[in-house]
Amino acid sequence: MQCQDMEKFIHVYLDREFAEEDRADYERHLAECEQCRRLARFEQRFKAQLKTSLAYPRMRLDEREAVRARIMQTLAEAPPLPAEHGVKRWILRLVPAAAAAGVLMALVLGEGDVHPLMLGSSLLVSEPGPVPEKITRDPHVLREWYRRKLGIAVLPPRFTDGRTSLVGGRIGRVDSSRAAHLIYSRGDSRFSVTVSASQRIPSRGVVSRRMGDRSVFFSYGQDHNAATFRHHGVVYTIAGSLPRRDLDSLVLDVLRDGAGLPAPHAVDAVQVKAP
Amino acid sequence: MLRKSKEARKRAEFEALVMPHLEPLYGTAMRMTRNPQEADDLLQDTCLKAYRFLDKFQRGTNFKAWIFRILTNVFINRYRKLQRDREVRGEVEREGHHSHILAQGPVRDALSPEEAILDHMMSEDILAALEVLPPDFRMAIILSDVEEFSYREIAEIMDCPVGTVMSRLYRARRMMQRLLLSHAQDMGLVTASDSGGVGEQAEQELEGARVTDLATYRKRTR
Repeated sequence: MQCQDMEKFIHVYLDREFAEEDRADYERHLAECEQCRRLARFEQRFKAQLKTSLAYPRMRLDEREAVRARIMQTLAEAPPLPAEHGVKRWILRLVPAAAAAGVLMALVLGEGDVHPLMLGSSLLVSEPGPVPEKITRDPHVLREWYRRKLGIAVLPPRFTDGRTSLVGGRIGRVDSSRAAHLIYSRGDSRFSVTVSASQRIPSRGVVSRRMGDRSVFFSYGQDHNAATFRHHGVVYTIAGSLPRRDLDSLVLDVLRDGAGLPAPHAVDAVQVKAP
Repeated sequence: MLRKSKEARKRAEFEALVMPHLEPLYGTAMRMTRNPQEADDLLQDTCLKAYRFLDKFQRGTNFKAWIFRILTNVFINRYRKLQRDREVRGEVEREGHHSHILAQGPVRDALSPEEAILDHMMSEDILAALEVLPPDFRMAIILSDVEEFSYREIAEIMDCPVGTVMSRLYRARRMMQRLLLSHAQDMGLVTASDSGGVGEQAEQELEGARVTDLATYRKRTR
């Protein structure tokens, strides 16, 4: 038996992952081999040292209680699942990650599920809240609703792929500003378009590309892709489980509407004076 | 009213399930994020997700492993998004990259310097070494050495084959030993000339095979 063959499995042995037969075999070798025994002793001590050093210190009772209380509060405020009452009532709160101020964020929501989304170096999460919502398929109803709520009249973009339809709109947040959060369905999935009057646009951790005369900032993730760009004086973010090519064409649809090719349902996001 | 009490019952059930594991969850979140605020966010997101998917949890099975799997997913998704600029690099390349860096340093081997590591290393050195590891390796170490999950559980939590768990643990521990040895040498506790070669060869083979399993063990030793 070669010691180097044994050495590879030293952790399997010490982690007690060997079946009885293999363990006995391994121990027979250890009994014969001083060098492997020393290695085993060393690795055993090293493991013990790792456990001692890496174990997080016990929480104080008050810390533990504080963490428990925060968790329970999060759950209590969590919106009910749609299956239980039919109406989706989630609302958005976009929370910037600790050191990542000034980055635009957006969120797409599935059926009552929560998907934190990173855009640039910021994290987005959805949370329940008292902000009202509007669910409608009528873009003009939404526009008026947003004008009242946000001081921004947002006419939802229309997309040309023939399989995308508007589900409704909500209030979201981008940084500390409220934003329009429009939800579209597309086949079996959904994506969102966030429209905000934010002056900020993500620049770190995103891929910048020119599309037409615009810079569009893409962020590609495991489950979600997002694109952010400025248009008509506001910032749009399209986010969802969208293939990159599809995301590109959605961006182009929005840009084209405002680029001298007016369509009947052109984007009309006009900033008006806040009430 | 009825719905409210149903939700309240569900929350109470969740609380009863999660509280025994609060410390391991929080501790792991701290070790992975290295930041109390981020650890708290990670924990909140994990619990919210677990709560939402509670009906997917099979009562009577291992809740700790189940919720650790969610924690790992939430962490990895966040981490990947943070590291988006590196997304083209797959795990293999990432691991290879780190081994390359570490291989330039002194190689662990002869037993005397190893023992010197044990004699001299401090908890903060070990923590610092852990922080250098790629997240997959860090998670594997925490799940195995701190939380004492079995390889099979770790494989489930990290959504990878058991052989990958073995190989990650092997390499993660070797990386930490190298870092600690290198640190001990910098401190003048061990001389570089003490370094040898047995472990290195095994590691190269492991790296070549990428994944090991018990069948490999049997083939090699019989």
